Formats: sequence, C-alpha cells, structure tokens
Amino acid sequence: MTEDERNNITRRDFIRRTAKAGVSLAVAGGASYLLYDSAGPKAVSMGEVIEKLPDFSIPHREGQVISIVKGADRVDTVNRAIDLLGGIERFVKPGEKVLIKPNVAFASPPILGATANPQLVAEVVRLCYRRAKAGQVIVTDNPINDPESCFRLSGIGKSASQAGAKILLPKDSYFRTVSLVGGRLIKNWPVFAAPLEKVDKLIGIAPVKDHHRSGASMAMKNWYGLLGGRRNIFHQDINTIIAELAIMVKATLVILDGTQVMITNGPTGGAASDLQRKNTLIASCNDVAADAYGCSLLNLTVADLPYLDKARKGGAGTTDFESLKPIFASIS
Amino acid sequence: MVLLPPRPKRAESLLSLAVLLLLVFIGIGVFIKQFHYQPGRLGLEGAGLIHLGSGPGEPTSPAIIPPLPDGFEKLSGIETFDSENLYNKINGKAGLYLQSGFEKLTCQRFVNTTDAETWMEVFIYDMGSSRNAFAVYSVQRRQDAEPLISPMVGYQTSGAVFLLAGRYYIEIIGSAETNQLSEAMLAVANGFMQKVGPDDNLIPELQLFPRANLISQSYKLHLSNAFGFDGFTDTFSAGYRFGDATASAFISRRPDSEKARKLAGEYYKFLIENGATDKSTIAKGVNGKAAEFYGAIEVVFTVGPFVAGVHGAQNEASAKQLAAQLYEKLVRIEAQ
Repeated sequence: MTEDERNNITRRDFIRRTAKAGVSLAVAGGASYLLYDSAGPKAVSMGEVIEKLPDFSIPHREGQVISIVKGADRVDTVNRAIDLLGGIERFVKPGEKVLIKPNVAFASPPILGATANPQLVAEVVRLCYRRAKAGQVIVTDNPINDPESCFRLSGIGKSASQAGAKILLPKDSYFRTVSLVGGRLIKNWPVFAAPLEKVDKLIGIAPVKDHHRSGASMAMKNWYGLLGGRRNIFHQDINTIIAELAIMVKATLVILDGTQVMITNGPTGGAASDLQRKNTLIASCNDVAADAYGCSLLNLTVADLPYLDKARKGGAGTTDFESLKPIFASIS
Repeated sequence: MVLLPPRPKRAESLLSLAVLLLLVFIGIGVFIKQFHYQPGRLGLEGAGLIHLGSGPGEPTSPAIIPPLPDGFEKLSGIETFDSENLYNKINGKAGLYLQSGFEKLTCQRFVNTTDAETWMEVFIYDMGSSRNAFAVYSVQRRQDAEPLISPMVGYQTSGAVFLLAGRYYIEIIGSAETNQLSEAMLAVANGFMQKVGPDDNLIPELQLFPRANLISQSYKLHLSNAFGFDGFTDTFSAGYRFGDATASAFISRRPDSEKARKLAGEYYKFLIENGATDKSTIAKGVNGKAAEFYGAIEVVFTVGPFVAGVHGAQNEASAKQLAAQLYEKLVRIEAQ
C-alpha cells in the first residue's frame, strides 16, 4: 500500500467508521442515561431536613436565671440550687414528659468524673417525679462508643432507672437531618432529635471538665452528644460547633456540676488526682451563663473559651452572668 | 474519493483499546464505590449511629492482648481503634495521641469474679515508637503519683496505673479505689512488661538534664508547639524546685549550631512580641536572652546544636541558678 492509498479512504470505509462511532456514542450515552441517579443519595430514614429543635425554655423571671450553691453533697446542692430558681415546679408541670440529657460520653467509672454523677442524675429524676409530678422522665445520651456500656459502667443507667426514669439508648431511627438556620457546621447533619419531639421539657446535666480540644467541657459542650455521624470532624472547629449547639438547643434547665472538677487530662481523665474538689453546683435557665461562671472553676476566664463569645454573638445567651443577678448560697 | 486522516497503525489501535479498557475499569470502579460512600461524613441516611472499633472479639496481635489478672474474668471483648476512629473511644483527647504518632489502641475490660462493681479497663496505645509513647505518657503524667517499681517505667495513682513499655503507652483504669483492684492492676502491668520487655534505651535525652533540684519523674517530651511556640518541636522539659519556687528546664536539639542559634532568636522574639519584657541581664552568664512574662522568667540560650533554657521560673534567682546548671551540663556534654 502506498502512502497516498493509506491517506485516502473509500466511501464504504467512511460509512463503516462513522457507523461505529455513532454506535459507540449511543451505547455510552444510553448507559449513562440508564445509570444516572438524578436524586442522589437520600436521607430517607431521617425524614425531611428540619431547621430547628423544639424550644424548651421557660419564660424569663428576673433575678431567677442562675443560682450557684456551694456544698459537698450534690443531692443537697441541686435541691437548693433549683429551689432558688423557683423550685422544680417552675420548670416541670404535672403530667409533663421530661428528657434529661446527662453527659454519658464514656464507659468509665463514676470516680473518674468523666461523666455526669449518677446520684445527681437520679436526684433530678426524683425531683421531677416527686415534686413536679412529671408524667415520665427519660434519660438519654448518644455516646458513640457502645452506649449500653456507657450507661452501665458510668452508673447512670442503674441510678436513673432506680429513680424511675426510662433509659433510652440511641437508635438510627432517632436521628433527624438538621440544618441550623445561619449555622455553618450544622448543615444537613444527623441530630439525635427524635426523642426531643415527644417531650415537654429538656434538662441538661454536665460535669465541669478540662477538655484537651476546647479548653473546657461544661453545659454547652454536653449538647455535643446530640450530634450523630462522624462528629469528630467538628473538632477541627470546636468553638463554632459548641456555639452552634448552644444556639440550636434551648433547654428548660441546665445543671452544671462543679462538685469535683476534672482540672486536667480531660475530657477522659483517668485518675482521681485529675479531679479537684470545688464543691460548687450551678443551676441555670441558660447554658451560656452557666458556662461563663463554670469556667472559673477551671481557673479559666470567658476570654479563654472562644465558644462562649461566639454563642453570645449568636444570641444563645449572655456571658456576663453577673448581669443576671446570680443567687449565691452555701450549704455547710 | 474522500480525503481522511490515515488509517491507524496496529500499535495505535492496541493503545486505543488499552485506554478504552482502562476507562471501562474506572467506570466499574466508580459504579461499585458509589455503594460504599460514608454516609456519616455526608450526614446522610443511616448516619445517626456509627458502629465503631473492631468490635468485641476481633483477633488482634497476640503481643498486645492484655494479660488476664487472677480473680478476674473478661467483662468485654477486645476492642481496637485506629487513627480514623480513636475519637470514638476517647473523644476530645484523641488529638493528643494523633499528633504524637498514634497507630492503634487496644482495649479490654476485666471484672472481679466475685464483685461486679470492681472492674478495670486496660488501654494499650501503640504509639509507633518509644519516643512517641514517652511523649503522650510524659505530658499526662500525674505529679503526685507513686512511681512503679523498676524495671517498670510508670506510676500508680489511687485508682489507676500508667506505664511505658517500648512503643506502648498503657493505662489501666479501675472502677474503685481498693487494694485488691490496685494489686490486680499492677499484676496486669507486670504481665504486660513481661510480654513486651523493658526498653533499655528509653530516652537518652533525659540524661542531658542536671540532677540537682530536679523534681522526680517530671520529664516531658513536647513533640510540637512547646510553650505555645511553633518552632519548638521535639522539645524535652523537666521540672525543678528551688525552695518554694519552681521552674522548668528545656532542651531541644537542632541539626546544627547555626539553626539552634536562629531558633533561640526566634523564640526570644516570640516572647517579646507576645508581651514579655526584656530581662537579658539574667542570662548574661549563659550568653543568652531572658524575658519576663506575667511575672515568670524565661531564659533561652544555645550550646552547640542545643537550644535550651528555663521556662516559667517563679523568681529571678531560680531562673539564674537553673540556667547556669543546665548550661554547665550541656557544655560538659558537648566537650566530650
């Protein structure tokens, strides 16, 4: 074959090549059309995207927003702290369903103080039932690592059950997709929200702890347990996520336990020597104000915890807790 | 006759076929992979709960399975965690380990056969090297704890045991503060040491610190960002007591003396830029710089490839004395 013959083509060859190209295009296009998923992955089991959680806060009462009680016995201090704010009857009405969200993040024993104190949780359950005549009290959290072990080994499962609470362990069906309005991180994110849909009041209970990443873990950080999914990615912007959680969650009451404070090696601790006795318990209608005071128990200031100011700017509460005229008391 | 590009050569046809086959393989790969996306990362369906760790009972390297103490039985299976899911076990503390070369965590709980309330959990962190293990051990060390008996390197608190064994950092955490549990935890520590064996050449840099006034077991290795200064990587520190005052000495070895001098200068500049005031007369004897930072004295100097100094001295006298001790020791070592 000469060079000229190779450079030229017959009509038959032309038609054959054109037909081959056409068939290739048709097969590729057809296959793409058949395989194309116009809807993309769906958040079917979590239902529609919701923009906010129910608001569980109660009407403001001047001078009864935050109480700070000194004392060694949590049962005494929590009773006094709540009474100073108007009593548990102010927060929970007869027949209401109450959800208590303690910090049950780890399967660690109560002596380490890495989780909420079981006796404190039980006492709040008892208060809801005995004095406020609550219809039902549910205690729940969403620890990532083996929730059953966390509730069992922290002692919270047993003590809360004995006080009459229902322990609710997380399930996939309890999560809803949440996009917080104005939020930067909580966008189309799974949140442990279904249990909140069926209750009337929400109470948070958290210990005061040092935290390697955020500086401190207190009432606001306690809501981190409501996040599902691979929530560790938020550790990259821990201050924003804690602030957004405080904006998203409007609790009835938060109890911040500084009786024994994890002063170092938080949030897990590991030794009793990581704890320091501060004998302080805070009850507050606002978690930002509670944390603003609570940080002093870790020898920190509001400026040391940037999430506090972010939450304030987001309208979640005030860091100037003194403006709320806190009620101080002491139990000898 | 139509003029078209020349017919392809055989080699060109084969090459084209290979490219097409590659594209088909890529297409198949994408098709398969789409069913295995990480919904949790995207916040999508079924992402609420994440089931983590290797789960109980999954086999792991026999060398790192914790030994079963007498009078105890398994309360849980063995769980393992890697850098992807460590946070599920220890939450916000994961960063400390991940920044220090963490490779794997193996955990197991044991419970007393006669008392269900008495249990312990063993955490075995494989840090990849004894140096990394020392770093996480040292920065978390509880100062008032009781040291373990040699050859174990570690300490015991009222409800826990912490030790180093080669590349492993081990925490044994008890549910109560009882003698029986303490003894069982020590037995686990001993058993583990026998399996792994002591590290005879733990951290040679610790020999660089002067012994006088040293607070026992106060060594720390900061792999990065020591004292808030980015330039201080791989920096050792140790605590000292002078009467009522305390101070820390620090040492960081650089590739050569020029780089050491440059880093020392940058650290001094960092202090001044952050509000410290110059107090360099304190560092005259060690040819260095000094600054006062909120009442605490900082000294920095170099000896050969070492950047060294004093951090957080509570008064000028202790800063001067510690700087002089450290300087003399380093000069002596450099002269050898």
